[in-house]
Amino acid sequence: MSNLLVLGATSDVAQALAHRFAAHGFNIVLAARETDRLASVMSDLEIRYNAQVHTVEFNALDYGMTILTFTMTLPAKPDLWWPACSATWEARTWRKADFSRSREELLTLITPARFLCSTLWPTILRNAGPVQSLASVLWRETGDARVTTFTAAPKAAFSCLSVRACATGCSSRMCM
Amino acid sequence: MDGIIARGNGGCYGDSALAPNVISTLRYNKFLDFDAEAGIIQCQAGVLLSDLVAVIVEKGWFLAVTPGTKMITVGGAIASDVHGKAQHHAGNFSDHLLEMDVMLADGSLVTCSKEENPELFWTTAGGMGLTGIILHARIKLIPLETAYFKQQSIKAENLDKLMDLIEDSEPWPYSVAWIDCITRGKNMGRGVIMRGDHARLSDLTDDRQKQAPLTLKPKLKLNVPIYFPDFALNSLSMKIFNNLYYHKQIPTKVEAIVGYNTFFYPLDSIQNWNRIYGKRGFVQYQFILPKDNSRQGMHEILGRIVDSGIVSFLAVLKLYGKQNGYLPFAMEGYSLALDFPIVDGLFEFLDQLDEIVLSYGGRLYLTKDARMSKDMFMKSYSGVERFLEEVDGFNSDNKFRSFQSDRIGVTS
Repeated sequence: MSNLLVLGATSDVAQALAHRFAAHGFNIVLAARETDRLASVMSDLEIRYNAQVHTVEFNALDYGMTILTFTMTLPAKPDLWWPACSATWEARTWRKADFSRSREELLTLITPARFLCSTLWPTILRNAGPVQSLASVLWRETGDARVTTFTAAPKAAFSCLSVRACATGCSSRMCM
Repeated sequence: MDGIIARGNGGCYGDSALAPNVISTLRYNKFLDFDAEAGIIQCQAGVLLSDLVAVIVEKGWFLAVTPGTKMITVGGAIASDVHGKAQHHAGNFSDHLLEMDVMLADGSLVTCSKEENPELFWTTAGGMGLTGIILHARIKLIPLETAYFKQQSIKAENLDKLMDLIEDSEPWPYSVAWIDCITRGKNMGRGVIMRGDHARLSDLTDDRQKQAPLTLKPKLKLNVPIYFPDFALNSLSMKIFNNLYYHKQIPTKVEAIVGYNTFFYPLDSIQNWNRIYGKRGFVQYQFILPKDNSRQGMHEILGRIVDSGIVSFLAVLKLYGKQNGYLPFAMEGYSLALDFPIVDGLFEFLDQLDEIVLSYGGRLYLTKDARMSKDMFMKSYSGVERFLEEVDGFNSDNKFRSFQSDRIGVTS
């Protein structure tokens, strides 16, 4: 049985990934800042797919965290690491946006990439574990409806990774 | 924000889940707990019955009550207090609901069951979403040995013989009848009754079924890719369809072992089946009459339908038992569900049928209703005063309302 580690697991994209992999027989480790928000995600994955699911705390903004301290919290060595980082905003609401919040969102987007490239990636390479990532930037000109199209972030930011584009808006459905 | 209604998968045929503000529960769709020993599952209200059934069947459990489609949410099943082929035996969905959490108009979250806050429980079950938003449910399941059913299909050449067969089938836990609403004369109301029971392991004959008794072979889904033209469903084409359907079964009685999808959810295997009715759509008209005068009433209504030239594409006849709750549709009696493609004069004709239904002490099913008048609703639903009183207690400012509840006078 393979183990998948999803970083940033409270996001819908991350949960869609977890569903897809659990359906294929993976055991799942959900890592996020607020693990209490993962209780229903965990029970859902366990009941739907008979998967073993664990949650661990992970904060990409915690500059004091090292790969060693983080991996020590994991229940098993992951066969696949999948950081799922996303940011969403709309062009029309951008003008009215609270920029302190936007900064936080941008940091959330960029910091895992930094973390991944500088610390995680070399470590994983040494352990010969594959890594895939899905980064999403949502941009929409008009309309109030929630947009569910995700596009790949600039590939340069993840040049060492395999970035895939997908369209999903639902935690239980996903295109890969 | 006033004028809110919770909406599941949009399976109601009318406007019961439409309002100025609609809250979709579809993303609130997680399983919370499953006790595989006791057969009790807890989930959020947006879980689809299709997902629920997929999870529980492989673990040897099934829903005690399931409607003819699994493309509805748990919350919708509670709000409509749905029933199915087992209504005369197992009652309605709420009879197997152990507990639910409801968010009331003031934002408070209240747990209710038949013992705890029973007023809220019985007003919410079948209450069409007017007490609040159903968030979580705990459901008691029934055990399964296999995912298959023993099914018998028996033809009857007219309405009386069909109703005799339905009454003879009362010991069967599941029964429902297809009825021909076009043929006149001595064969008026001819039909086919389908009755069944859970297949035990010893009933299975196919090796593949025996090896994996709780797993069904994946079935190809059909799709109706385009809307049929409005003239496609006419009296001639429907007469041909009815003749083919009735005569496709040559012996009077046929027995078969079928999977639960074929037994319970035949329409779910045809995606976009509503396109058969064309862009004008259709109206579903389901009524129930008390058992004492059901035969006379069904004869009169079928006669009116046959004479009117307005044809029903599909019609389903079923014997019901009692229903709990403050707004029960079911009573001991017969229900007929009709699908009328929308044609000129249909709504006037349905008004006439309403009067006949009312004269026999019957009522219409709110979940499938799109047009019932306030007068018809108030006169036909016997528990309505108590229901209005309770709804007023939980939803005094009419925060929760739908276009249907406004139309039938529950909210205004």
